[in-house]
Amino acid sequence: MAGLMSGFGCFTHAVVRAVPQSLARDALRSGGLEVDLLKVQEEYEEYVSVLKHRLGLEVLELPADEALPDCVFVEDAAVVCGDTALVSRPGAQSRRREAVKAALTELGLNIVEMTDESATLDGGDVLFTGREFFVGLSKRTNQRGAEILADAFKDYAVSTVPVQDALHLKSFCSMAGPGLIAIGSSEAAQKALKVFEKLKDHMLIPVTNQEKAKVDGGLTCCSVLINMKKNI
Amino acid sequence: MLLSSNQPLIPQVCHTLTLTLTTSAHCLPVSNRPIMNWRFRATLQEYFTYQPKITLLSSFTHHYSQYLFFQVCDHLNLLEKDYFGLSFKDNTEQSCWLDPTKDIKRQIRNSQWQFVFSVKFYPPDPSQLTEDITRYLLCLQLRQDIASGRLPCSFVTHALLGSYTLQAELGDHDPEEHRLDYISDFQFAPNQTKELEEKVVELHKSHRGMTPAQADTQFLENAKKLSMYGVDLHHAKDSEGVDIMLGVCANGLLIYKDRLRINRFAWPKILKISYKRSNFYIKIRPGEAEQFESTVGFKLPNHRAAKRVWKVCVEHHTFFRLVSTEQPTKTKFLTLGSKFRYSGRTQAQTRQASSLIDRPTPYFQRTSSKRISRSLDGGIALHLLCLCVTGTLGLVSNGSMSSALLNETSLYEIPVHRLSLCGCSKLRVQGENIYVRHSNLMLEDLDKTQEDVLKHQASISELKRSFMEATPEPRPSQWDKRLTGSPATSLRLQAHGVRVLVLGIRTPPQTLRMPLSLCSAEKLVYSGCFLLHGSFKCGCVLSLSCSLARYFFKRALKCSETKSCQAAHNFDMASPTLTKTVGINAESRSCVAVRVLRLDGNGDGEPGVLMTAQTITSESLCTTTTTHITKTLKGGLSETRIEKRIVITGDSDIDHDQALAQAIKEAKEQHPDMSVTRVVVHKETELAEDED
Repeated sequence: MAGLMSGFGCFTHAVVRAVPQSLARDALRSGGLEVDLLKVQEEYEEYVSVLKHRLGLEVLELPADEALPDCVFVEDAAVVCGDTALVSRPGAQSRRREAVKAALTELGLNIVEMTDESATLDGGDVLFTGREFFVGLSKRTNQRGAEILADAFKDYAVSTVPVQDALHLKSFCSMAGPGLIAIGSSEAAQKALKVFEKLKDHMLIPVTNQEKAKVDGGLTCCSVLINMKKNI
Repeated sequence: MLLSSNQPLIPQVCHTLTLTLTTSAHCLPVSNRPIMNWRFRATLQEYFTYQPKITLLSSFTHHYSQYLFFQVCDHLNLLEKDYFGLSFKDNTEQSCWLDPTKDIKRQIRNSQWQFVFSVKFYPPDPSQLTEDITRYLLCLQLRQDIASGRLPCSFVTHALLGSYTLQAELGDHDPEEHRLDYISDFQFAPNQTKELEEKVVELHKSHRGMTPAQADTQFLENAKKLSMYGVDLHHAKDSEGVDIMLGVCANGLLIYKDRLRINRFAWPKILKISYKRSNFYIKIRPGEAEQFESTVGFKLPNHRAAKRVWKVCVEHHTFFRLVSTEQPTKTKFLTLGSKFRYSGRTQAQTRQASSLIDRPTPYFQRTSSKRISRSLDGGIALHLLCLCVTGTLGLVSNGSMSSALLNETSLYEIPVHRLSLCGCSKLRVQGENIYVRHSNLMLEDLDKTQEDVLKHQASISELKRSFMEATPEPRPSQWDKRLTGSPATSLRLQAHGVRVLVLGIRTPPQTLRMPLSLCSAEKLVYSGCFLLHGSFKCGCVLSLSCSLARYFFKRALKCSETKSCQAAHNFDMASPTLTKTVGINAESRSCVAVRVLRLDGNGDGEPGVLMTAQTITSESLCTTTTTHITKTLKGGLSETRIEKRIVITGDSDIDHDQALAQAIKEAKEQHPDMSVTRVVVHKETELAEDED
């Protein structure tokens, strides 16, 4: 880390996890739609291929664990910024064991563990703009979790955004570029938008979601992005 | 006139000597300006350093604040001053900024004047600062902020910033010279672990080839991104009584709860800020979907805190957002509330001014204070970021003190033998008792009716008694402090480097007087004040120069109004007698060091028509007597005035009592038809300087 903000949006590695068979039946969801497992597999492979070949990232693929149907959504398991990784404590009980700690340790990151049992945090609720963090307070992430994140990443300001009618903060928004947040047009998004509007200089663009939305998955859910540029 | 910082700080040496009972001959500066010596003590936690002494000259107390600040900046060789300020701790241990537009005395009410030089406005982009020295001072401030925990950072950031500090101060990592303990002098984080130190060293190695200026720049490039960079925090409660922190920064207002930022109001969003009682309010511009403005209120611990937050907001907003400071509109009607406005330059203005800076990079050394003793020989070590200015009333030192920066030795040395008084609390009056006896002597010698003498003695005893009964003032009183800053009398009498003990006895008014004026004083204001104590103790009545008397009298009145000081109390009690002697009374004549006063013009209350003047000098083994006789016509009355100046030189073994008694006796013999109306004894003693 030659600087706090050098290369925001630039990453060198990606940690992903294979799709378990149990996803189709047991993955947590809000809707009741049927899931085509084959299609999920296809999407996943395409996704990894883009990361590897189009974006040139080094992809670390973790094996699926049938006991953890949501394990493909590795983003929720950890928050990585700079060379520190916060191994989070997902809000959903069934996801508590989705540890990616070993893989992150292997990559040489400083590991911070969220051991406080009153804290919950899903990585999907954490939006890093390059300058600060926004933590969505949702059904999966609480205030205490946000505080622990603030402690782990002392360099940055951490602000909270209330998230209603959506699973995660990043279910309806994401970074689209430096200083640019893309935000959805749903009601939940609009509510959160008001909070974002209080902040200066963030541009907001509406986008749409995809198949994984059926199991409340978004684009960012499927990877943990890491910048491994070793200036340190 | 306010001296510019380029002028020499001490005026030229005086040629004449008007002292008596001296133990050695001195030369006195001629200046008629009050002089205050300021001791600067750098306190930056472990960056505690030396105590240079800077002498300020100013005729106007309300310029002290600004002048003091400029002196400090000059000492640091800093041109881009607008980002910095002097702060002090008020009675409630809260940090306050010294307002340059107001008198120091009105702002700081502690006995110890301790100021800290620190960064007031943290520039969002330090790379735009023109000079390296400015960046260096900003780095010093940030290092302290980080070490104290005021600026939180991650482990890696601590290490990175620490490594830049090392690179800047020590240069390239040298494996031979730099073992692991070489950095134990530095503090990189509030809790420094071995692991952190190792990381710092590892990073230090990677900066090989970086110059100190580059290292400082890199330091700042990283530090400026920290979320708490430049955020001034204040404790508060929100409208629901929940504990929060209000943060004021270049971009606006931030609200923190626990460690989370729960709200942010950028300056463009804020329409108005105000405070009322202990509450602080901001009016927010309506959002796109909203129609009306909203007001957010915060509860501060007290009124002062609310006002402080408000002031900080005004200052930050003006500095960072405005191009130039607005002039306060003059209203015909009484405006309630504070008219405070930021009076300095805005960032836009200072940047413009900075772009005009065209001087070669000033040389300065970057050393941690701990190593200052070893580096005194080279340049001026600039770890002075936090200076503690101790306002001590020093004396004029004679000999010139050139600009602080150039003549380091004279700056550090305190010419002890020239300074008689060191500080408010350190003032020691010696030889006090002598004068008690003298006063009695004089009483006896007076050509008075018995009744008058008795009356006078009675009033003296009364004074003595009242003073003795009063509780002693262990520390300098408010009055002392107020007087120390006073311009008027200090103007004239402070310049002389001699301690004054003025006492005398007033006879019933006569047209003929013979004052025995022996010398004049320095630091009169202060010692004058002390004198009053002393004189009460001695039961002596004062006879002072007209203007001085007027001044003390006014002060006494003022003090008695506030009922805040011992001296005033005594003064008041004695005032019936004193008024006659001292008060705004045209009959009191100045007697104090004529020669000195003459420099400042006639000390007399009113001008007379000088008819004749005559000077006679006689010398003996160890005394020189100069008699100055003037005959003036005043209001139809012919007045002969004889001033005898007797200088007795020798060592301290002189029996002062006897010498004075002898002098008085001789004077009376020579002029039997005159009476002694005034005896002024000045004793100049060399006091050893107290070490802080």
